[in-house]
Amino acid sequence: MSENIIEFKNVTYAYDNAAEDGNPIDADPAVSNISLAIKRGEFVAVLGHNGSGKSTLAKLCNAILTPQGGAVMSGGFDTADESRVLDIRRTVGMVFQNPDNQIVATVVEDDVAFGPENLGVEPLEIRKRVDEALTAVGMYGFRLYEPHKLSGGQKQRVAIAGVIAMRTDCIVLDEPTAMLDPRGRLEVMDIIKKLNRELGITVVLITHFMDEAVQAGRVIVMDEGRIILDGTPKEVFARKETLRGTGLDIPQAAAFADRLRADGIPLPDGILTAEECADAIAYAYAYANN
Amino acid sequence: MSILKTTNLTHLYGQKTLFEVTAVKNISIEIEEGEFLGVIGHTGSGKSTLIQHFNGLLKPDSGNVYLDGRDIWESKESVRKARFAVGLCFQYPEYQLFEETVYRDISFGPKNMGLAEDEIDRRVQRAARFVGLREELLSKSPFDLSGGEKRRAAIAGVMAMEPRVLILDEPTAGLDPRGRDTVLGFVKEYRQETGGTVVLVSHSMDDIARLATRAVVMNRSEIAMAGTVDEIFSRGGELLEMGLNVPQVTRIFLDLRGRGLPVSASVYTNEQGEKELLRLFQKGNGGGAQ
Ligand SMILES: Nc1ncnc2c1ncn2[C@@H]1O[C@H](COP(=O)(O)OP(=O)(O)OP(=O)(O)O)[C@@H](O)[C@H]1O
Ligand SMILES: Nc1ncnc2c1ncn2[C@@H]1O[C@H](COP(=O)(O)OP(=O)(O)OP(=O)(O)O)[C@@H](O)[C@H]1O
Ligand SMILES: [Mg+2]
Ligand SMILES: [Mg+2]
Repeated sequence: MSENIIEFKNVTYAYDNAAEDGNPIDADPAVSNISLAIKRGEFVAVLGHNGSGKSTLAKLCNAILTPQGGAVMSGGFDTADESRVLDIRRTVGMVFQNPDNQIVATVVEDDVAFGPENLGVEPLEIRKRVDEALTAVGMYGFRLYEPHKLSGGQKQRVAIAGVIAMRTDCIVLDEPTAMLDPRGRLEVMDIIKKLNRELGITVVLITHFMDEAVQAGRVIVMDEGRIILDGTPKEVFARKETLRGTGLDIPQAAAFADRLRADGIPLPDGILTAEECADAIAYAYAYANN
Repeated sequence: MSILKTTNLTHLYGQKTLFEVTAVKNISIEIEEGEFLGVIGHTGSGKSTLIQHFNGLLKPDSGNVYLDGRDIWESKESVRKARFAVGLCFQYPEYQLFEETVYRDISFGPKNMGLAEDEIDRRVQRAARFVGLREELLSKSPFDLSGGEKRRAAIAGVMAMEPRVLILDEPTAGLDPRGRDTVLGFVKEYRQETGGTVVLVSHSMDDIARLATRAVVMNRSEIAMAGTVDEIFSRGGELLEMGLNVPQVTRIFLDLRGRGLPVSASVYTNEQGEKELLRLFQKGNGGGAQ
């Protein structure tokens, strides 16, 4: 088994855009000559401005889209090889940006079972996985409801349950917490970290929340279809100017610490979380008062 | 007099089926002209259902909705009036984008209002600029936009109607950090310039703390709290129990107090936090701040 579960080699993808008059619009490729290797067991966060190509990158990972230039290997299979689509989907599961695009059944539990069924999992095992996954996202009580009649956040939870039930080696989540309440957001981040740490599942998390990206092992930043930063959260969030220049930001606690530093309160560099920020303030206060 | 008012508003889904849900239960609220009302509440608490009554998209099962003191269901004419006076931006932008091009989508509302061609064009351009939609995207199909671009198009469509009451259901979900700041900054400006009323449904406690003049908290289909932002966020324990939270900066200050630092816990925005720490460090002898 290759060490890399996902590999992009000089990958380019452009949507063919047509204007009203039918003429093509000369648009830049959504993904432009990207090379990228994601190792088994990694937890990678992907950031980038609206339209930077994140969802396109995600869809290239499990053969929903196939590259026009270069190649993508997922779980060792070339995504351009149509005979391997099932193997690829067995390796890489995906939660779409809009949960409505993911709903396939008229009952919540059938919707969650759809993925594992397609992978040929045994019925008894499916039953178990569906119940577990719905419980994990707090939607077990809604298992007999119609998915399209749920609230925004409830739909998002069901979509996440769907990918959990598939138990693929790698999961790609496209903004899975965008519609969740604060507790839901924490719970989903906990689930993601558990899948990654305890089951060794590779996680690719696309997000606009810098505070979520901080929890990943590696952060990738996209801009206009290219990767412009790639490193640990500490490395990436140290590049404040680059991030702001591309429409992103640093985590809230980091921005707050910056303000305090500018006010002359002596805080160390590299603060990313609320806890780190409180620690540093308490330390500076103790130091100033003894 | 309040601009919008509900009395004993109740809404059920799936009435007389096994899946009957009372999504909104006996809600009476008043929204004052010119206020910025924040609406928070756990997933499935009834927020989207409630606000869809404000412009007559949903009809109450019991209770009433008043615009300028008149029941909006009084006549066909009064419902139509509510549709134009109260602009609603849906939680999922896909629900409101349907035209062939983004331009036509944004101009749909103003056109229906019977405005002149050049006024429509002025409004479309202005709204697109404010939400940060690039010119070349206006001729694209809305279905070929990225998630965040769709969101921007949907917001622009509502803004272009220049409604007296602007209702935004999770408008920043899916926006990149700069987009979030741009859109919220524009909403704030719009309110100040036109004296318009804004209702913001959001899972971001930080945005509510920063922008709202008053907030209501929904819990299990009912209003659990209503008051100023300070009043609401001073009840952190109850909010946590409801799946909500306090702003991140408040968590930092609660943490600091827990460690025995003499700081106020009534800190809900970064500005307040900065001030409070400057006070603390100035008092402490030899603190870094000058
Ligand atoms: N189906 C499509 N047809 C044509 N163009 C598309 C399509 N989907 C996306 N695009 C364009 O491709 C570019 C990249 O889109 P993509 O959805 O990958 O961005 P993203 O980084 O996921 O953005 P967001 O943060 O807004 O979700 C954008 O400019 C977008 O307009
Ligand atoms: N079209 C519908 N048919 C049946 N039930 C519905 C429908 N829409 C919502 N519900 C139910 O009504 C309740 C309230 O839903 P609503 O969408 O108003 O919640 P919300 O507070 O906006 O949640 P979220 O934060 O997840 O968007 C939920 O239990 C939901 O399952
Ligand atoms: Mg996207
Ligand atoms: Mg909602």
